[in-house]
Amino acid sequence: MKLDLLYEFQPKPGPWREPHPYGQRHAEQQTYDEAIAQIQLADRLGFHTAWAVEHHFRDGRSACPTSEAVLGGLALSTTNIRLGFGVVLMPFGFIHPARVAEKVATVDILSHGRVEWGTGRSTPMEQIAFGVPTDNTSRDEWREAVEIVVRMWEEERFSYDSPNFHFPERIQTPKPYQDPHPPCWLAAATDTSAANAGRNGLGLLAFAPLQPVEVTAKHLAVYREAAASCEQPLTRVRNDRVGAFTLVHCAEDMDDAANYGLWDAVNWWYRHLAEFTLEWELPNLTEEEQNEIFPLLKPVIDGEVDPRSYQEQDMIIIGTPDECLEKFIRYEEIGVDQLLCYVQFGDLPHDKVMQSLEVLGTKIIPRLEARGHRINVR
Amino acid sequence: MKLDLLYEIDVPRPWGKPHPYGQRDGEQRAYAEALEQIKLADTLGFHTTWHVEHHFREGRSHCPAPEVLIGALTQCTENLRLGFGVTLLPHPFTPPMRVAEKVATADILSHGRVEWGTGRSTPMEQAAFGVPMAESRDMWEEAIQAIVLMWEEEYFEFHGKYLDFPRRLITPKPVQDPHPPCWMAATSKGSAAVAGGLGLGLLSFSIMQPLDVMAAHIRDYRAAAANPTPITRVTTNKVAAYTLVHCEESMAKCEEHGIWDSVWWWYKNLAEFTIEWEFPNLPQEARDAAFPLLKRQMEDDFDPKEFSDGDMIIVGDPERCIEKMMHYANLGVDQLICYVQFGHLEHESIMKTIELLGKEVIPVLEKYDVQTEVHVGDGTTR
Repeated sequence: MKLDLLYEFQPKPGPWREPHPYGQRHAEQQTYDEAIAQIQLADRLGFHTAWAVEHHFRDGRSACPTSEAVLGGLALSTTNIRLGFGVVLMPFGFIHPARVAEKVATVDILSHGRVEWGTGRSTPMEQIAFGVPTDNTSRDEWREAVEIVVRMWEEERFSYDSPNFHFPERIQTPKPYQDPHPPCWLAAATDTSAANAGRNGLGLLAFAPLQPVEVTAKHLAVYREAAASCEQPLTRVRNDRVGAFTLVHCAEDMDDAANYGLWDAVNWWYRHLAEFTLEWELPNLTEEEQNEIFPLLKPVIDGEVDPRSYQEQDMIIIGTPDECLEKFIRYEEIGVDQLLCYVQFGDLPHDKVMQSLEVLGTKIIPRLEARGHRINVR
Repeated sequence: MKLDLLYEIDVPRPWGKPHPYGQRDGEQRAYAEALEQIKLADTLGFHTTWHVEHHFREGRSHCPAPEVLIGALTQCTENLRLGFGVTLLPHPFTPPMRVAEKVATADILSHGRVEWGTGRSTPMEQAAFGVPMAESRDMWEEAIQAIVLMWEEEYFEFHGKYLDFPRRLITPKPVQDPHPPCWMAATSKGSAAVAGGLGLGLLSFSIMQPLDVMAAHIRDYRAAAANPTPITRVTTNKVAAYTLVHCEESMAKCEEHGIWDSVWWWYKNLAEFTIEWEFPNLPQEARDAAFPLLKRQMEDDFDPKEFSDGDMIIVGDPERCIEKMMHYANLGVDQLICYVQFGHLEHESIMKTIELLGKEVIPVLEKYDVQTEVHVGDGTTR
């Protein structure tokens, strides 16, 4: 199993001392500077892929809606680490498919072929803002857009006409570096989506911190079964890898880590996610859905859940090197090929994140490498 | 007058290998060489490097995603300002939120070095993205207004003619305060005055017309800019003009390296491209007005040296380049944008151009006192 990174570019938590807009500005600038330094270190330490999200308007959670600019920067400031769009939002209201083909190809050129093309549909709070349907029509649009992008890379002159999308004949530039194109993935939170990913020959990007490992394992099993039955991949590259993300922090001295606010940071992450979901996502759901979700959120918001319980259940990978290795292996054993380490969260000091990366790189990665990999990635 | 750079990432045909390998190789080489050239320019006192957003312009420009290239440049340059030349604003090209986001992101990655050029594009791209030509100016204007508010307000909501947007927090915010300077790409007589009146910088082209025509545009711009109703929170009264530039130790060296061939290619290819891709989308009178020299260029009935003699392009040794550039300075151009990667010019000769411009031309221009009465960037006259 490889170790990757996932960055949401989460701004330093508020409340900010400075008035608007300076509080927000400085929090965002700081998170960018720190993230880039962290990813450069990870590049030197042998982490496999750095994934950057595309999140719009995610108040307090993410300042990274333009992953293509960030990955363009990382193409030049890193050497070996692969660069993941985690993910590109594909439905037509978010972006014209030509722009997807163009930006993914351009990053691939500048990085000499290091792109991983993650795809997704997002959530209602963003879909509504971009005029994207919030029902399963967005899944159909996702699929059609992926097909269009692949053909744009493949064909010499491309034109297209369907009830949903019209495009006159044009020549697409530039073409990607990887031949025929970067491997494609689907971000999937449900079993249906996992099956969809497998059936279409796409990699799976799964969310681990919100459910016990057993549930994640079942999710992956659904994916594997569907992947085994894939006759015709949706793209020109068959990708059967599983990537899963969770919070990760590795410290030799866990008492020290508690002192520099590690558990506060974990607590903040879950609590703020629950608050964010309540404020921005819930209003877009049906009453029935709201009633289903709210009871899960309330205890977290009220601070009734001890973050250590997440660690004990291995939902997050926090601990000493030995403790972390044990948890990493548990994910490897359920079939995760690439563990996306979400390392910049809460108010963790930058130098402590750097230290954690150093420990992961020197103590964990070599031991995972020694165990071998299901497939030879890269 | 400053020296800037402009890159379209030209990948001239023929592409050699069969599809897609010829195109791939050509593009990869063009991007790699552009990066080397720009990194050199960063050390030699050039002011801004501008990057186009051109879609489907095979042969002429393989750069539809300047936010990616600018993202890369934030990491390998320190001094150069990084210009979107331009972001296409009508909504079907890019939802305004995504423009606000990408310009701010580039500004953060570069620690505040972005110049925000804006435009509406041309019919062949508008048709492909479903932008109604007649409304493109209005869309452009509404998009600018919305984007400025997105950067300014804590929570943004907007109900305009083209953008209907619910309350959201727009993130990230730019570094420059209140935001990067905004420019308008303007080629026609009317649009120069529009740019000035709205308090935007003027991005102007000279290669399509004689210098006295450009001079008239600049006069219109300055007149309007003297009394602006700014559409953004930053008022910019500056003229940037681009043209083809090539500089070597001697004219003989320029010719040895095939300069006229490449100049000829640039004009002829533009004429061919316009006829093949733009004309089908234009009404007849627009076709007649669109491109004054078009017919002659298509028919190979022109001598590229004429453009140099008329100072419409700048080719020669450093002394000759300085002389021609001073004509631009005298017209009131604040930033002369050097389009250096064109035709079949070898990478080494372009690197030489940048080196000579940096070492021998820029220092002279820094000290040059403009000879005519002009309105300079800060609004005074001398």
